[in-house]
Amino acid sequence: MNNSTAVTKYGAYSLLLILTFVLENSRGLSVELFGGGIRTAPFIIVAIAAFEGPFAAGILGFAAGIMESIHSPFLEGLISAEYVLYIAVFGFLSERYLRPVLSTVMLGSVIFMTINSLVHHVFYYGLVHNLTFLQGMQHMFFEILLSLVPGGVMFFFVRRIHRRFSPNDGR
Amino acid sequence: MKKTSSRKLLLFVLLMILICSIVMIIAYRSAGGNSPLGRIAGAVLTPLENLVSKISDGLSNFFGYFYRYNSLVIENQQLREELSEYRNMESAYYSAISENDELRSLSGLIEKHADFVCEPCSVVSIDGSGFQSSMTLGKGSVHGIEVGDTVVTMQNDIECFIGYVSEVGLNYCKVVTVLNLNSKIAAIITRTREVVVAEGNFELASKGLLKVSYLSNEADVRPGDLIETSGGGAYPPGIIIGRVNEFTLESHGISSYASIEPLVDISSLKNVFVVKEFDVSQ
Repeated sequence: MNNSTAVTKYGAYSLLLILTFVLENSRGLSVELFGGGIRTAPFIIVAIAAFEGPFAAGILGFAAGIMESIHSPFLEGLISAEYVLYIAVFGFLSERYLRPVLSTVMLGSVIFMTINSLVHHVFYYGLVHNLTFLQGMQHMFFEILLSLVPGGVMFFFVRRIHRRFSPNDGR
Repeated sequence: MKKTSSRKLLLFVLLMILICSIVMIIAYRSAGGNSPLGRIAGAVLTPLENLVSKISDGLSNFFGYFYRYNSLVIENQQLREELSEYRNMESAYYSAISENDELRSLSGLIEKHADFVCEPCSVVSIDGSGFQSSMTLGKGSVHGIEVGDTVVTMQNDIECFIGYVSEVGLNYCKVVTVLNLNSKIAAIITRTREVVVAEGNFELASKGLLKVSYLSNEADVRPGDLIETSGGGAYPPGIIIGRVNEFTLESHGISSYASIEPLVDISSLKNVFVVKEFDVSQ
């Protein structure tokens, strides 16, 4: 894969991230159920980790974290750090023990969202805003539930981009 | 795909965590809670979100006609009801303003003529023009109005004579105005105190004027002189009938007359006062 192909491929991944982020957060399109909304960035980043490995996914995860922090109360860089740490582990395991299929990516994304939400709810919403554990779980549950279908669709987009630009990769 | 070495990955993670920490420190220390990276991301993404929101609004408005038809019908009905309610309120508002003006005028009139017992009335219709000039008021005998009562109005704090009540019904009364051929009012010229009679005239009424006849050719009457009621029983004294428009020799040359122009345009009156009682001794 030459440099221009790589640039185009990662440009396409970035565009997918930006597009889904804009669609999820724009007024009139954002969906909400019991406080939880659609969040497809974890699915895209985990899918990229599954197909491209931890380095590319880590950098794109960093960018996704910066984007997500625009609409979140957390300090900029925190979500990015969470993405980087998780993607490093997931990418490492994925390269060695997991196949890049829908079920792997869905499971990996749900685990990331659960850990991510638990950290946020315990250390921010719980401690600062006195949100009860049940409320936190409800928010987390509906966020994951709403994101499952669009997140699954994102897997196929990522796979399509990967196969378009890396046809001999065999993944 | 080539497998990543653990050492490289660890270095990568450490580097990325370092970058994240720097971003967090910068964001924490900055006033707006944003690092330059966040500001760039916001500057790029916010207009995009705005654009998508506008497109979404446009599509929602266009397709909303189809899938929100029933709710739009209900909303339309509610808005019609609200509009009707507001129209009623508007009507009441203008009515209150009109009543307020009326009461202000009445208070001015009462201040000047403490002996007057007045009934504010709205003009229901102007029944004739010129020498037949008359009007119908919306109050009658149940409000204490009687035949012969004087009808006045206030114009710039000046009380103006309009006419007298000629016919009274239960809840209405008819008024013969000063322009009517039947009106004959004992008057005086305010400046000279000369006693005269102001009356409706066939020719002058069409011009909105009335006439003061039988003035000597040498009478001291000037255009602009005010003519007021003299009192003496039928009408209260000191009510302005009008202003001298012209002082002219009669065609026979024996006497002169003055044409009088009322201070108010009688045909455009909306509210007047009927003086039900006044002190004759004044």
